[in-house]
Amino acid sequence: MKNGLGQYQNVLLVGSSSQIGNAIVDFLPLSSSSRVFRVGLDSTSDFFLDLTSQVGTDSLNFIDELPDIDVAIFASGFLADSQNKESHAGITSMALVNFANLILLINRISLRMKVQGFGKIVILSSVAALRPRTENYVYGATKAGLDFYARGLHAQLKGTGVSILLVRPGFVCTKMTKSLEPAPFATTPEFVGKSVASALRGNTRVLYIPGILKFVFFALRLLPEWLFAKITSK
Amino acid sequence: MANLKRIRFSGWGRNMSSFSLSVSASNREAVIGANPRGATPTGAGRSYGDSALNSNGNRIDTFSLKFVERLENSNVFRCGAGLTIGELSRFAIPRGFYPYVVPGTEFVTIGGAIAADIHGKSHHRVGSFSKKVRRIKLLLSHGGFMEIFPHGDTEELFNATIGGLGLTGLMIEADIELMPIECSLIEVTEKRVYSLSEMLEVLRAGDSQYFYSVAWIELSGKYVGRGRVLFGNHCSRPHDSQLFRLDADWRKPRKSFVLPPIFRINIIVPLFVKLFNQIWFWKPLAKSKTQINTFMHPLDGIANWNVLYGKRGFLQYQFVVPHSHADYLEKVLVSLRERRIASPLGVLKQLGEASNALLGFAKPGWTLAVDIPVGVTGLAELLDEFDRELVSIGGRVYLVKDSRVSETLLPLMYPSLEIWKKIKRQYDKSNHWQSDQSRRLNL
Repeated sequence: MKNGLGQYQNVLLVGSSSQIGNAIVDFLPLSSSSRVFRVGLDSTSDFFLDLTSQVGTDSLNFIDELPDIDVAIFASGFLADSQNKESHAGITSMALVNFANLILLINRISLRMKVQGFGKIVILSSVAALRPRTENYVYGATKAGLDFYARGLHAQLKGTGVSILLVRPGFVCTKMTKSLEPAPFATTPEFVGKSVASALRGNTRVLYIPGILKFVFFALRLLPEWLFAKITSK
Repeated sequence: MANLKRIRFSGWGRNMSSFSLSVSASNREAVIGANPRGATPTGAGRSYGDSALNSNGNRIDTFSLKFVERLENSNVFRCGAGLTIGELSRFAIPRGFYPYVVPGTEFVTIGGAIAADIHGKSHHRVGSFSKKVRRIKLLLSHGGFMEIFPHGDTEELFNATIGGLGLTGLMIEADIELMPIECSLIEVTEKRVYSLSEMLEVLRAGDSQYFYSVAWIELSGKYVGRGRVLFGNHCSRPHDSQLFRLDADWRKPRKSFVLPPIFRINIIVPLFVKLFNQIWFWKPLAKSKTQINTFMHPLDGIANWNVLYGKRGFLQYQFVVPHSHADYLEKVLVSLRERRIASPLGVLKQLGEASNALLGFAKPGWTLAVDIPVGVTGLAELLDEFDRELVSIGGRVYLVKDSRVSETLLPLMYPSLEIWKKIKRQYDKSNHWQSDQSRRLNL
């Protein structure tokens, strides 16, 4: 539980190498005795978990040993490179990392948080989930599944004290996207971190980063297919 | 237990809150019934932080444990754990008795007073509350009752229970020794002092003459430590009378003013505090006979003064430093001035002998309590800095008022923590008694 000064005691970060995830942790109000549990594959991980292959029940048992978690951040994400984005391996990895394995994890954490009666779950979706583009529709599809799941889970958690912050960033300049041309309204992981940390103080349910994308995508979703295709094709 | 409703509770500081299930202490099955989040006994909810919160667990309401009886021809009173100090004193005063240790508010239950091992204005003379506790009846997590005494076989559990934050069991009743008094009035002496050193001097000199002593210290303006020192002694019976003198109004709680629930934002800001402190400092000195409850419970004049700190609430930082490090108080004043943290409530008191409580707060030295709104910038770092310094000079913070102390510093502040933990684990194998604080500090 947050301490008397609003500082988080225990934070769980899924995706220990995620720049966005780590940036969020950097901006969270933490005390000197706060603990951050990182889940992932790199050397900073406290719990090793490979999301690119099917995750079994037993490999998630570490969740039961954790202390009460105030915030769980799900920042792991995978974007296959341009050659692989429609290959068997690429689709499998994206589906597992962005969706299938992730919702298994979120499910376990939400059950854990229901028992403790409080907690925030930060789920990093993407604006790519809002309308498919020819360039990244597989990635978008996996994120759309996650997005859909998050909204459903939010409704399901009503009254338990646990809530969800669904984050839909636009293009973020990270390791994952370095080979891509930045889209309009591109941001940095730091900006995302700052926005998420401040949104966690309130009751925001869905957060667009930057905020203007909320209106941009509201408009884009209304466009007829031919016009949307024309705008987004290069 | 599906019919129990989850209710949001917060500590007196209103800076922490959580949902829990309220269970009556009379419902023994529910009290010890399995809940993965355990249960925490609660009293009147006057602990500032999360000592009496238990997120998603059971919160035991001791309202049903309100009873009191004087044991035959003695000065020992058998009190239910849910009885408040105010109720006890209103029962005892007409019989010519008064509790030795009474806190600043009368709305503290006997169970809470023991669990926090509270101290009062009389600490330099009689020590903390548990010194006068003769017996406690405790409900343990396996469902059995146990009577524990300050001496003998049960001494170990007794010492873990007093000051044990309710984490060893649910107190049902306690036998408490009360002080015979001749009159329900207090002879009050009040002095204005103009510096911290003068304040310490006056307190030191006065403590040998007076049974009650406390000082209000101005935490705004120049932060030089000026303030008012309040002393009191029980009045004795007038010579010509054989009767106990009762002053009016001992029967009812003092009339208090209830603030309307309109305070969304904190109004305890430096400007208002400065104004208030000026008025408070210069207000006429009391020098007459005062009713005992007015003297003892100055804060109860406004029933819900804690709402003045707004939605985010406040915390009370209370620490004790040994006599040899009285200069630390000066440092605290300087730090508060540097950060422009103004507080209407700064209370300084000299503490006497420590009790046997393993997690007891009071020990010989000076204690200062400061109320601070949570929204103050840089507060976390400042208090962490205070804590580190405290540890190095042998001080400690008061757990029942805490909502933020670092787990790593705790064993240094409370050297008997490990022994206490061992006893707790021994008598509470299933770790049934837990609170948000016990989980936060891994107690």
